[in-house]
Amino acid sequence: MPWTRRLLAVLAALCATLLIAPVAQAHEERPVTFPDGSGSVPTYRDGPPDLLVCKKDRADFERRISGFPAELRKENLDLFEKCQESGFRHLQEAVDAVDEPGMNIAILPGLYEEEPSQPKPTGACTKLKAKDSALGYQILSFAQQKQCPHNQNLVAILGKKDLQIEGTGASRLDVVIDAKYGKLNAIRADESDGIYFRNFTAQRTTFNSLYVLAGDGFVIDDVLTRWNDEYGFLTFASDHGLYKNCESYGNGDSGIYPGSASDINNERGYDVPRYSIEITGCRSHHNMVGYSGTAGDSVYVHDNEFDHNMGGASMDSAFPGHPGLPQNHARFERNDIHDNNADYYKYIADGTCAKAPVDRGYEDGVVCPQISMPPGTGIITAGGNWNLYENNWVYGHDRAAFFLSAVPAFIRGESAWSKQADTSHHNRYAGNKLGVDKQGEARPNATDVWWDGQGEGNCWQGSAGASTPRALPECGSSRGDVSGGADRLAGEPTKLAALLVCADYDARAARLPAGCDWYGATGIERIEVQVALGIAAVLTLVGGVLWWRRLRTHRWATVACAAGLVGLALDVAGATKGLQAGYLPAVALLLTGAWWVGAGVVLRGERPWFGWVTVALGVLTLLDAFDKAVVMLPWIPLGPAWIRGLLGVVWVIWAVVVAASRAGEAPAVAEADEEQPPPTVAEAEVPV
Amino acid sequence: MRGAGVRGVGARSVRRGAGAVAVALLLVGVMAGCSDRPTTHHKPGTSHEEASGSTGRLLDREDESGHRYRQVDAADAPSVELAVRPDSVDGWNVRLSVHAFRFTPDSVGGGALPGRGHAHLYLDDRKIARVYGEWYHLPASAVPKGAHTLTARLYADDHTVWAVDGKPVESTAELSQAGRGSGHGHDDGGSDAPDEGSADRTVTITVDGKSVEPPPGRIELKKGQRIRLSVTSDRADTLHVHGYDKEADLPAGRAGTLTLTLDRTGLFEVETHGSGLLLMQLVVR
Repeated sequence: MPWTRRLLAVLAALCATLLIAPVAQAHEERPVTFPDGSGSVPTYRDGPPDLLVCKKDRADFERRISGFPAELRKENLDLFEKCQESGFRHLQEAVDAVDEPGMNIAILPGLYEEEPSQPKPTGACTKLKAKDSALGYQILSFAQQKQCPHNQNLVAILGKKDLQIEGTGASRLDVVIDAKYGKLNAIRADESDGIYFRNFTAQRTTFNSLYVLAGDGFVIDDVLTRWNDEYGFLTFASDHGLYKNCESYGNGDSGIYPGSASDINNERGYDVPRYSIEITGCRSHHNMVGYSGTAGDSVYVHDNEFDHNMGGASMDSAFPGHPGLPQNHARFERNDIHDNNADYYKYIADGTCAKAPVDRGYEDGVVCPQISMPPGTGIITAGGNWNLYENNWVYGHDRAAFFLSAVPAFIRGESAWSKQADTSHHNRYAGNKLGVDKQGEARPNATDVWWDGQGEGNCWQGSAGASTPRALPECGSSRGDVSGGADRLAGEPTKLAALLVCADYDARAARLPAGCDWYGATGIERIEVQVALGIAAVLTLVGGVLWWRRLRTHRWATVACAAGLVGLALDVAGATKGLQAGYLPAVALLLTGAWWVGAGVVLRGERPWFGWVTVALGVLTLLDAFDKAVVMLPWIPLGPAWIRGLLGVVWVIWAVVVAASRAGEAPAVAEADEEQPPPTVAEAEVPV
Repeated sequence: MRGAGVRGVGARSVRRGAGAVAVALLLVGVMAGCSDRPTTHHKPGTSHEEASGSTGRLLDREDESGHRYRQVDAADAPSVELAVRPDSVDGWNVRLSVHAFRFTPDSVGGGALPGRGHAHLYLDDRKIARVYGEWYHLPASAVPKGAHTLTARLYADDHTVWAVDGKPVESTAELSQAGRGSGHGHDDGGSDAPDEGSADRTVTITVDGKSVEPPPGRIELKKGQRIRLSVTSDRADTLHVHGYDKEADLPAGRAGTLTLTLDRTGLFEVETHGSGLLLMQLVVR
């Protein structure tokens, strides 16, 4: 283990002991394991329904179906007649009547508020022995869910096998299951393998509308979910899943969340035998993020549209307790990911999100973002491995098309030293149409790539435009081919500093970090600019005094110092949002490095040790410029910026001492040199 | 196989997120020397308080279309005031000033929630429109000669009538049609009249800054019909119909049109790309 890795691991382990205990747990669920994978994706059954659900009001029903095509209208009228005789008035009643695998429930057009399920718990259901979650609800066992199915769920499907639930309307809006913010979940399908949902709408919960938990085999087909505190669709710890032609919007976290999809390809490379969940033909829009995948493992996401969210899609390994971390093997192809620039943090700032969910106005477009994330981004990967992002359209983003950063393992509650740098590796971004819409019109992203610089085997297509860093490892034509790759243990320090500031977000306390542009900070308000300005101020002051006291009589040293001053000014400019993804930051480093090299060479005469350290700092700075603008230096575990930063602190202190000391009071080590007039020596040695 | 339940976990959270933020914790450890408990981990988010308020009591009384009344206490009840002003070109501009009420076009058809829904406009006793916003243009052609009473009544999302003390929440105004010819005013966007050309329906929308007239609402059409969108924006922009992925240029101050055949069912949003405004929603059944 190299010394840097060892150091990092020690620090990580120390931090883990301090951090993990008080981690805020939210939305806890009972312990679950992945299904054994022996199931299969269910197929649609078009036979006559076994159970019917409808309302009694014939006039209302006829109004609802009046615009249907004649044949469908007749079918519905026939079903209505049967349903009046032998059907149910509430979906839950029909689910309760399911007594064998493979039954079909048909729901006729109407509004289903599930009145019998609405009342708050009474009797024994108020006294269940279970741990409270951070949000106040109880973490119930499966047996407790069966005992009290409506403590948390409007419709509870518990342990039913191969059940199909289908709306019989002309569109999914003809059957609406509305929780009216009275329950955590509108529909919960728990340990119900082989369930098939089709053609209805579920909406307005304080958690999520459609929740599939621990299921082996499910299909979500032509279903709409909307207006939830957290998710539209949440399928957790499940396998053999298929989402198709679905839609979700108005969710405080994501529209589609295949969290902890079965981790069937862990330890494999890009070639995998199958995926656990497939998502296709769906649209997820006007959410915090369109798609999210904490531990979204082995999910095949293709031909969807994720638009007008704060972020199009995200994958991460940032939250503890999800089976299957670190996230791996998501495959995104041919998705249309665009215009994810919504600013929903304003609803946190103005107090809208402090109201009760029912009063926030989700139906009018309010979204209350539950966590911190960089708005204006196409695909975010915060800790993930072996993900493939190929042939997608990604355009019209105010921040970046792709965002990639690492997340050390202790964040997710794993303190083993060997795991701390186990993300983000082998993420491939190739063949995507960046900054162009499907019609071929230019719709540029402000930046195509934002990467913290950490990880091994990550690569991007050569056609990527503005990026930070400017030099990126390039993908070859086949998966696994990378040129210009690096393997860093940690990302760039200034980027991590910005992330640290941005992370101090608290939705409940309405705290929006002032220095972070995720929440609207611009120009000098941004922490990146403030840091650059602070460093520039210190270096200008120290460098200026050093020049005045030691270098001003020397022509070339003066030129070098002037270059340094320009470099520092450009460094501040390069920290602004508009210029950070170009070559300016590297030019700034080039000039600053030239200053240190020039000044160091001159100073060697008077102060050899200090002179050489100054030269070394300059060379490191030039290497940093090369690393960022031309090609990433291989074989080094940390970027040049880390070493440069540490050496820079030493240099500043040393420079103050050198500048403050009077000529003739130099340390003993320099005395031999002092006997010669420094300017003369220095002039002779300055490289031209 | 690998996923065969080998990853049993303890109590776990279903929390997720973009998570980039978490990287910062590395910095806490490496740069701050673990000296303090960071405040950087995600918090529990907004409150997830479940609703328990009343949405009134259903009465047996119904309106002329069979929609039942939903009675609420006077203190919690929404209210509406109706004002009618002659338009300089054609007909009248009708304003519905509501209190403790908001128009919720997107959730119509859902359950009733307090203080939200839509309005119906009646000319005398005849329903002439469902309204999802504060303003409505009533063309002269829709009003026969003589004196009339215009009524605005508030409805919940489930089409029940908001009522107090057994009476509907409504407001009336008098207007008189003094033989003025039917003008050629703006299409109100909600008209069912057939339009020119091959379109089954034409919708005319005006965008002025951030204001959209008529206010964004939902239009339902059948699969296979053709719709023509005529949009006049005060600035150059692009009209976009989601789902169909159709676009049209909107020159500043002049109407841009887009005609399309609705060959896909679903809910589709019509937006401007430049100003990012939602203009309307198309429901294709």
